[in-house]
Amino acid sequence: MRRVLPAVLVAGILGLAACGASESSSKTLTVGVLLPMTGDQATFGESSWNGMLIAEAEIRAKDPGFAFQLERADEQSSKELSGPQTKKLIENNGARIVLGSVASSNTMGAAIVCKEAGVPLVTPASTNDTLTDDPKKFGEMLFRVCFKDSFQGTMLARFARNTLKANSAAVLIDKGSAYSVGLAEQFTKEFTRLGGATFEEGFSASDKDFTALVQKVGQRKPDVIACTGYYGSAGPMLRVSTEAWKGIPLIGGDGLDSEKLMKLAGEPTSRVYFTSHFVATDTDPVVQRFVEKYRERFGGKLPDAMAALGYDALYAVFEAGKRARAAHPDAPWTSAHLADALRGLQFSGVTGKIVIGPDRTPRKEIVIVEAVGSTFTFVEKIQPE
Amino acid sequence: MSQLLSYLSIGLAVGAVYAFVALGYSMVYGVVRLINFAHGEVFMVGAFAGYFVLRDAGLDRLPLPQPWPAVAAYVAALLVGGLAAGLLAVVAERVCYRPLRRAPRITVLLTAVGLSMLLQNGARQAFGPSPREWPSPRVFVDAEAVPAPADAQYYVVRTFVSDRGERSDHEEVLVAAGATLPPAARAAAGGATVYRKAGLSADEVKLGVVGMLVLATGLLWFLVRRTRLGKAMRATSEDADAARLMGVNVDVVVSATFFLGAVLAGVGGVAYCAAYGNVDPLTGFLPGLKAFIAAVLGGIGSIPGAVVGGLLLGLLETLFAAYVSTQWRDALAFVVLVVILVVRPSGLLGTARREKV
Repeated sequence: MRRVLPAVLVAGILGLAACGASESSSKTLTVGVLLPMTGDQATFGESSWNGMLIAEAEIRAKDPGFAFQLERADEQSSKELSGPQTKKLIENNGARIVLGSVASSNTMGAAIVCKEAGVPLVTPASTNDTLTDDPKKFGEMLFRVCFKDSFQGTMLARFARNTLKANSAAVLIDKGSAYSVGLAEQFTKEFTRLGGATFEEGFSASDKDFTALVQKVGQRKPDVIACTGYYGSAGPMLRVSTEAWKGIPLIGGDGLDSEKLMKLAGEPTSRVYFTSHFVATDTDPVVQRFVEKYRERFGGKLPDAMAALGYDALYAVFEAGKRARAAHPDAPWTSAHLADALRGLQFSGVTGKIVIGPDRTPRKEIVIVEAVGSTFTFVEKIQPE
Repeated sequence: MSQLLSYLSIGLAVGAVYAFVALGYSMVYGVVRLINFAHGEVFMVGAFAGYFVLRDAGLDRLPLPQPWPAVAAYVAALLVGGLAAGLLAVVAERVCYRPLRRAPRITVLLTAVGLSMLLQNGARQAFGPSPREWPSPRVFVDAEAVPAPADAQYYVVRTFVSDRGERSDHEEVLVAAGATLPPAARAAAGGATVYRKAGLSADEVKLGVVGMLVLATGLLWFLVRRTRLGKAMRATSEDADAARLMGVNVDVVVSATFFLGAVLAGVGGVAYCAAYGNVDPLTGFLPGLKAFIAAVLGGIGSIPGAVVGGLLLGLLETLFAAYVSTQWRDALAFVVLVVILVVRPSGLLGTARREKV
């Protein structure tokens, strides 16, 4: 045994190396997928991945000649791990293009690695503006299939001001999250422009005990509470808010869009609204076809926005792949060709028509959703001007 | 004024949880001079044990008049949480600390830190790293008489079909505020029991935690001051070798100390997670650290000190969050630690003990 074990190990390592080599030289496109599969954004990762699986099956059926494989890495909802995991996808798995991640702070880590490696990164759901607006830091190869926070924050503020008729808003900010800080800034800008007044309160996503915060905010009696963090914080806040927030609606961005939100919240006395990319109760036939497929494959589960964006992100790769192949037939897959093909790409996804603009971000529609018990109801859909 | 009162009550409840955990730190330190840094993880394991009892034991389905099934479920969760934590601590003491009793203190301290990491990551492996929502016990109500709570916008009514009392599929029905169960839903429920999930209200949790703390402190005081075991503990604390010469079984005393401290931490863990609605493997980390600070603040080794320190830290933190900054609340605890170590290292109620050379 003592002699056999090293031999087996060596054989295994050689075998792995051989696999890696054969993959990168073949005509199969390796798509790296970086997602939070565990940790406090795990439902985002799981949904995105499920959406990608639906897209993968469709693409394979539609175009069997398009050879590709998905390699997934778990960034564990951690800013620190997203960079190293992306490196692993590119260097060990031979990814020519990377999809991911969800939380903007985590995508930033991935973007820096992709920029250095010259690999395009398509983020399904990271909405923070700086990702595409700061090419010095994050490069020019980062694309998204979702809207930006400047758009989302503006629409959220208009909804609060015009539909909910709020005059004053409490803005709760997760100071450790680039997404939350950015969204809060855009919300505040538009809300005050429309004549409303805001006050802000910071919190940390690692907090468990929000009772003091909730009490403090409730006592100032705002007309609306905008929680710009993620469901992992908003849920527990709602849970302890019963008396203090009675009758004050809570609104937020797509960070609240998770089935876990209302489970963590219990039975809150506030109405809960958020802006998102997609909602399964939308009656649009494109949406309903996707919902049917998803429910069939995942045991009746309803897709959320992350699932729809995951689906659209993989389709963006497919559409770009087709374009790249048309431009460079017979050439092996290269990151540069894919990045060129992504610029100005147009296709129709389940989250609306996606036209990637010069800022590598699509201008697209936004939906407003109300969370009621464990279901999300469609409130309205707003087209970009 | 009512604002201040509501902050004080929140602070008292948070402080009571810190006090629960701080008691364990203090007792163990008092007897074996060890800062048991794995205590926060014992707290977490207790919370998970309570979570599983609430989620799976089905005690809230007992055929008892309301609200006793929910009460029974919580009492069982607290007991099992406390026991699980207690057993874990006894095993940890036997395996990790007892062989090192004669070793230099720094060795034992590092062992405690290592054990803490082992338990944290073991729990990540076993339970997964994602936070789980705390299960609310079900409260049964007659299908005919489901009133909508006046303060809810919507609420969820769930029906579950049980012929022989086993868990089976259930269906959720949403009922808007002010409405009663729609006829279609009532028909769908058929002969099944309709129940509404009832979380504890914030005030109930606060009252419960503070009440338990008063009870636990009383019992502990009685145990330490009035029983043979307590006398043995005090003797071991003063001089373990002399106590052994006098016929005290030091090993049993140390095990009992660890057990009692951990039971309190486990109970605190269940109460803490019930109050904030979720549990994950890192649940014990911050409360563990804060409780350690509370123990130092009150005077480590002193039982009344732990209670006073815990309550004081909870109040300070909440008032700081309310009137100064929510974001810097966690930093405050560490500032308190530094200040107390500089100004009064023996803590508020501790007595300076001269080191024997």
